[in-house]
Amino acid sequence: MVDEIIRDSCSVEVTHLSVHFGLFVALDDISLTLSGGGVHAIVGQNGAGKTTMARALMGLVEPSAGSISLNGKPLPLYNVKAAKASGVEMVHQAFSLPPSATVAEAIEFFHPSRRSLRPFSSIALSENVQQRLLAVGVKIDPTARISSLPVETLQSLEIGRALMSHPRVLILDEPTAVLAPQESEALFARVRTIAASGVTVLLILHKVREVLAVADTVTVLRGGKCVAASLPSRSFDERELSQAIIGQGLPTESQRSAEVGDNRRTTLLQLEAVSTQKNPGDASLERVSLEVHDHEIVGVAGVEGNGQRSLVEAAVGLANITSGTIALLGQDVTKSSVTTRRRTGLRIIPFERLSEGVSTSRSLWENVVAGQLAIGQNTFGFVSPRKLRENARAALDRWSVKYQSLDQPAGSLSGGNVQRLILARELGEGVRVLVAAHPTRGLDLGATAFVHQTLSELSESSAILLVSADLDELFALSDRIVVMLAGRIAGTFLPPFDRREIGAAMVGAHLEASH
Amino acid sequence: MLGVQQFRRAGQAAAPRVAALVSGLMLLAVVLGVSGYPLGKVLSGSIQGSFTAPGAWQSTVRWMIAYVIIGAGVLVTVRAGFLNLGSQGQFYLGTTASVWIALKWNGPQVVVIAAALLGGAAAGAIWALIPGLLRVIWGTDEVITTLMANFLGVLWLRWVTSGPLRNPAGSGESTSTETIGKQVRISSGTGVSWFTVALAISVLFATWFLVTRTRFGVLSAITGRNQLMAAWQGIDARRAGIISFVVSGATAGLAGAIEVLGPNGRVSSGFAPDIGFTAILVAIIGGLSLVGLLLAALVFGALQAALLYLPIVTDLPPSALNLLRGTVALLITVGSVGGAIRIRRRQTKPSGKPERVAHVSK
Repeated sequence: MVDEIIRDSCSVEVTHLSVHFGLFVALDDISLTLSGGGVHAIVGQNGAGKTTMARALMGLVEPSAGSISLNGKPLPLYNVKAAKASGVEMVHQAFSLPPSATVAEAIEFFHPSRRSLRPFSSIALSENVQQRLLAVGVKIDPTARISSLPVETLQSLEIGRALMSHPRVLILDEPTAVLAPQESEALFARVRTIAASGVTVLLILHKVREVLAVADTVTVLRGGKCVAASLPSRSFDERELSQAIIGQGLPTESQRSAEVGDNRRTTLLQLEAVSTQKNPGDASLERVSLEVHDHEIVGVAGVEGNGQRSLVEAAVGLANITSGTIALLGQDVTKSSVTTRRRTGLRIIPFERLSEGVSTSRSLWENVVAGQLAIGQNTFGFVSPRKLRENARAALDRWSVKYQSLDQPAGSLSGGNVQRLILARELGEGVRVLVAAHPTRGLDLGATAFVHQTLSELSESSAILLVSADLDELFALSDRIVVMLAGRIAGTFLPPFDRREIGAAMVGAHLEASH
Repeated sequence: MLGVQQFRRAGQAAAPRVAALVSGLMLLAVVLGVSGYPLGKVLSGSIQGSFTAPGAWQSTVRWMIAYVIIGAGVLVTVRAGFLNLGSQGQFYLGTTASVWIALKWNGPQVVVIAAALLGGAAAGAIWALIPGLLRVIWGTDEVITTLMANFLGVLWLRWVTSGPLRNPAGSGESTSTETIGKQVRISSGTGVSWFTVALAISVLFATWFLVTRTRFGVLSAITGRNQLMAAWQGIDARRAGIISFVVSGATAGLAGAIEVLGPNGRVSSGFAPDIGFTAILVAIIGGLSLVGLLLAALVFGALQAALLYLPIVTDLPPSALNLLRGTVALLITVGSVGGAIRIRRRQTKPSGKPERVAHVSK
């Protein structure tokens, strides 16, 4: 424990690094040098090799060629222990703390404060852990259960846990994927503080704006190759960086035209003073009124946990509604089941692709035809597997899902392809109202552009309620944006959208000013 | 090409279960060898008892019929995401309902047989419906309720055979009902007749139709694996659950009725005490496919037949089959854990992002 407080910053040199998974080349001859200290972004589309790169540094995957050294000292490869001993720490995309433990227990588990078996009281443990967490800048109740923590707190705790081992290199894998814009800002501030203390921070990101906002240098990976090695982020603007990532010009995202004939504006989805029962996952709705018209996309913005999930669940028929009414195409569906609403023309893109969207262990064709079968009438009605498979194949091909066999499990598809599968199922026939929750979360730029285009085209013949944590997405697609705060609608905005105004409404500044 | 591939995949999927069965048999051989039984004699006796001795194959088929029919119902519940361990109790309810109808109703032969078969199936279905309702309404763990319901089934059987339907002429420790009339028997004492075989094949076919050719079949397979997704799709998981419980109870009850109208002709307290559990094991070893079910039923039918025959050639205790059943069940459980770990490892490699997958599959 002769760990000096002053740590000289640590550079990372990667030479001719290649990683193969069978025949698949995940990383192809990567060479780059990340100078000590500072914030280094690694960007690229899904499957570009970002996470593989991070995992190679952490010793979690075995490179087939090349070497890594820290401050000129070679790092033993494929050896997590050696990587940790050399001061490399990583915060994974999915968090690793045990959900049923308290904060104090979890931290003590990963960083025991003493080696002896002498028991100590939970109060002493809590105080000890609290002190140690404060030392790495995390303020949190040590007696709270991990499972009860909101995602941003959990992430901050994970970072604190990584910092406790005094890393010289800290890798954060897509830390903003789970955060609202304001939280991302706070995270970036913290990252800069950490970097200023001499730690070399590697950030894996895929949002261009975030990269330019936080990183000192940018490394762009595309298809496992390095197309830009540790270049100063000042040398890029948004467009150039997007092009480097995607490899071609982005389709220009057009602002939607505001003038749609008012005579065509029939209300397809209507919530009137809807309140829902309290539930632990999200703020419940409090007298929310909202209308979505034909040919319209209504965006829902808000910091996560402010009622977006309750809103979606109320709209689709999964919430316990305590008062108010919901109408679809003019019919009262307040008490109707999901099935009835789907029969009326409702389609849904759920929040969680892999748990709510598909059954990962079942085949592609079953996942596709589930939509059509679910709204069928006769429980024991005859179905022809051959016909169902044909339907599924046609739908998957129409939405250009990349797959080998109709029988492969849905979980074997990449995130973008799972989302295409869901679109293929939901937007097949009879869609009048689409409720889309985070339709592009975690998708790469190409897949995101595809989803955006799809929603935009769909809105010409239906009504869309779009919940997203990505303000750029909402600005590009919405005809109208409502901001949710603590289960209420805190404001409604029309284009041109003002980022600051909407941001203020999301954190409640707007609400207080108007009272 | 595709056919070959499918066969290979099916073979790979079945490998751990076949391995469990083979290791169970080997372990049984070791135990018997160590205990001083003549292994050669046991082996040849087994083959005689299950296939070559006079009436041996009938004995094998007789047990197969019961395992296939009960196992088919088990398969439906497991596909829908539930584990109905109550086959034994449902079987008993089926036997008592059918023996009651066959004894008390003096109607036309065909009508009474049909009524006894349907009555047995209905009794089993009602007995399974109770844990089914508890499960979908209050979320009561069906593994516990169905297991416990077996004990009630045993007591019910004891009460019926010693009370309302007791054979006054009977004596001895095991009480039983009177024997039903000859005209309503569907097979001789061997239990094998065209009719019983046809019944088993019909159940197999009906199950195949139900799981692959109906809306319920396709949807229940999805609900069984992911109820959350089912909810967002508007699939009624409760209905699928109830149906699957009723179907499995009905098949177990039907098997009970066949035992009464076929080989036994009467019901005695505590008879065929392992038939339900063996059938569950058969369905699981069969990998929840109908072909697998048939093959596993053949293996266990032959074993059961052999075990009833062996005392003729050597003094093997009947509990030997229990040892085999226990070992195989244990090995399959362990094997599936091992399989899960292997799958997880495999996912770690090529995807590069195993955390998400692992997280969700939990």
